[in-house]
Amino acid sequence: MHLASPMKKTPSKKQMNRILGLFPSKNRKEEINSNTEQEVIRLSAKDSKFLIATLQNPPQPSEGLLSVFQ
Amino acid sequence: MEYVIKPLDSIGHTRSSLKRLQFDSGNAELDEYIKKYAWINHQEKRSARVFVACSTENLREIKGYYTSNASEISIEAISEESRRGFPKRIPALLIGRLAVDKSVQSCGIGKKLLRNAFECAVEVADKTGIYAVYTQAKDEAAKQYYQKRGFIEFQDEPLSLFLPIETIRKAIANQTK
Repeated sequence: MHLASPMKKTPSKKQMNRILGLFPSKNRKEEINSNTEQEVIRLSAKDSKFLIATLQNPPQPSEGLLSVFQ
Repeated sequence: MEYVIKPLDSIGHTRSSLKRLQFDSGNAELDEYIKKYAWINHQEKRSARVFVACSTENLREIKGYYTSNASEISIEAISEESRRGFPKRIPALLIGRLAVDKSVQSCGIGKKLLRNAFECAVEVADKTGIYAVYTQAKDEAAKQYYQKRGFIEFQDEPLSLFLPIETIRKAIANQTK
């Protein structure tokens, strides 16, 4: 007695991924939500100029910044 | 109580043990991140590094954390001449998230975490050449927290703030005087 037909092929990993991709999965949602860091910030012209000017003439550390190292 | 800053993967936690972590910073999104996503980003994808503040008595007891990752600040909106020799995209270190558990807020843990992030940023700058530390505050209160510690706000992006590496270097030099 055969419980499964010997002719039936187990789906390949690629096929399984294609099938699973059709359904929502908690794990996949987690993957999507897990990397929400903004890796590039695009500045306006005004902010770009401001950034360059500040980098060229960096301010002295404020009292608040100095307190971080005390 | 003494607290130390450690990489997330060095205190004996696993992805599943973090899901049971008791952590309440007062911001549900930040609490959810450390419990559900920090391990994936830090240990599996390695897309961000997560550093945690834990008590020296029990390293597994996380009382605060911050995330850092490589970032770029695009200044493509201005001409090459106006860029004055700076690249179109300024390399920076992004402090993505910073949170402290309510039970120990105002105990200096936030400062300890920031200090660690700044020291890391200077180390990275020495090796790869980044120009600034950059962060995006979650709200006005968070923005004020960062401003109080020297961060400078952008004018058109009011919740985005930065701090030049050279300013951080001066602060560190001042400390060793």
